[in-house]
Amino acid sequence: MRRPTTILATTVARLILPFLLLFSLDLLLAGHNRPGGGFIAGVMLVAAIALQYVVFGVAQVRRRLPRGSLGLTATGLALALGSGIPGLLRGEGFLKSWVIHWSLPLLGEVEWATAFIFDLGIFLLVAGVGLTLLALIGEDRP
Amino acid sequence: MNWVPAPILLSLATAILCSGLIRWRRAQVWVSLLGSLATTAAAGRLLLLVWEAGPQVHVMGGWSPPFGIVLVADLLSGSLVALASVVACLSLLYSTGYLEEREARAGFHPLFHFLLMGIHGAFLTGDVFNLFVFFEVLLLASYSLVAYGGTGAQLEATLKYATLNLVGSAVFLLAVGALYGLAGTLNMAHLPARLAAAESPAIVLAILLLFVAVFGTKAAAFPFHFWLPDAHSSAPTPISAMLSGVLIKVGAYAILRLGGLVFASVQALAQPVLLGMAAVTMVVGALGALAQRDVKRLLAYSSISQMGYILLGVGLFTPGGLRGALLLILNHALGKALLFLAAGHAVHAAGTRDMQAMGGLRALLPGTSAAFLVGVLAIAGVPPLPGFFAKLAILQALLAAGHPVLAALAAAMALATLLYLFRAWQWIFWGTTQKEATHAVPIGMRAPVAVLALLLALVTASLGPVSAWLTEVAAQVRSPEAYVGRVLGGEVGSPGAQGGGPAR
Repeated sequence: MRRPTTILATTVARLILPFLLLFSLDLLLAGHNRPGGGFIAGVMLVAAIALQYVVFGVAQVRRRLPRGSLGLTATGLALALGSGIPGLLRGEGFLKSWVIHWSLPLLGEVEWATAFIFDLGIFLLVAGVGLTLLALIGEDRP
Repeated sequence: MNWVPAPILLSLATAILCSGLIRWRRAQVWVSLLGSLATTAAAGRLLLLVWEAGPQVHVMGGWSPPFGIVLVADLLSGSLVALASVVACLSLLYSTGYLEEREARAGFHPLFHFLLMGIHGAFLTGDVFNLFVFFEVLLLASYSLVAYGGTGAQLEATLKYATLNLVGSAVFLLAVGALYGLAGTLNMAHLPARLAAAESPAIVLAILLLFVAVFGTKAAAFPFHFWLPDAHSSAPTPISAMLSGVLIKVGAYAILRLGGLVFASVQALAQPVLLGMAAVTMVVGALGALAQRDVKRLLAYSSISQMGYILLGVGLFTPGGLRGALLLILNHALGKALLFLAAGHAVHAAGTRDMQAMGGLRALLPGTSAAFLVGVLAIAGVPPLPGFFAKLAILQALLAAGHPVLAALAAAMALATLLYLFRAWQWIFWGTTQKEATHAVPIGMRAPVAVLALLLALVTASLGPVSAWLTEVAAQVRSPEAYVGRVLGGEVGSPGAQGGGPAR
């Protein structure tokens, strides 16, 4: 069945998808000390996929999207929990975060906080839950 | 290694593992059982530590209080965490037998451990907003678990339960906002001094009453009790045992913690409201239970009535009243879980929840009949079971505080409890066999009932030490200086210091 979509919508949806995904990634990387974070990055990712659902329809998106987004939630939660354990074991408190400075070629001095692992976990969790919700709502059962 | 967050983190880890293993049912059940055993062991270790070295503090993420969030285990929260994890272990074991013959649905075990995580978190947190978060965790998990199975009655019960508790949560958030606006902090150890210095005690009292309404909803206190009979009776039996045995006590704990610690300056002003609510709750629950023929609904109404007793003791806030309330919490957690699980055998065997249609089950289930009787004696308060001494302590405390009318009411309702519970036992297990019961009860469902009956017997046999322990808990609740000192004291000001002293 062909969905009554305009060429305008399909073109725009296809064009902005990479930018939305990049924006989501940027929010994730900015997370620990600038506006952003795992939660909002996950929501942005799900919103980008939701746009594809709206424009191209459930069947087509599902053909391209890998199944099993519920596994993402377990992985994400495990990462978030795991990120807190080192602080607990070292006696500095659960979820204690450290900032590490790396010198990388081309980029020079790069600051990296271990809180990123927590953010990454939340990102996967939110993305997994959001994609599962979209898939379930889109299923259109009676 | 600090033990305070261990029960919460182990529950969370088990929930994650179970949801990862969602396709492998056998492995999931084993992980779930082992995880709950590990949680119980950690809770026991924590309680021992608190007993030896005083309140334990964990500073989350190294952000020191009152700015960061702390987890605090004192005797009250430590005891309740241990009690909750024991009841959870047994309910979980029961569920393995219970779920085997029903349609296998994914999600039970992860949700169960998320529920447990919320319960442990609510007991252990030392921050009012964090308390809200953990309440949401446990409520969300419990909504799904009450609806587990997806029958019409379950969905209706969940709708009532979720709607009322969502309103409750909204009020909770408003109260937290008002509290922060007034005091500028949400740390439970930092709040008492700030609130005592507040210009107008009336506003502090208003906020406390908001909290009493919120936690009254969670604890099924009148007039917010009407969600409970539906939710607790239509949930799967092991979940009913968790909800009645543990979950409603979280509401009572929160009232006790906030009233005794945070709002100590205006606690006496709120006492008439709390005592009035408690008395009506006690009467409404008992009258409701007298009218029931459905065994699970009867037990649910009985829970409301017993919560009334607990809140009476909490509201009095005298050493005797608190000791009675705490002993009743212990007695009701074990006894009501036992009754729900044993009633599950009868329902399983007879295929109906109507007690008058059962009859004569003692021949088929002699062990269940005996265990059910132990539960009846405990909840009804027949000596020498702990329920009797708990209610006696509350009665004495009521008389000592000059509330003879409430004491008379409490005594009358104890008789009503005896009446409806004995009648239920008689209906289910005695009389002529009305229905040819054919369903055998699996061992996984029988063992937890036996263990709960043994635990009750153990508490009865060691009532002296238990009573001394609870007196100590009540004393710590009434004088929270140690709690405040451990959280705000210099030794925990620097990140990494844990306040545990030699126990580290």
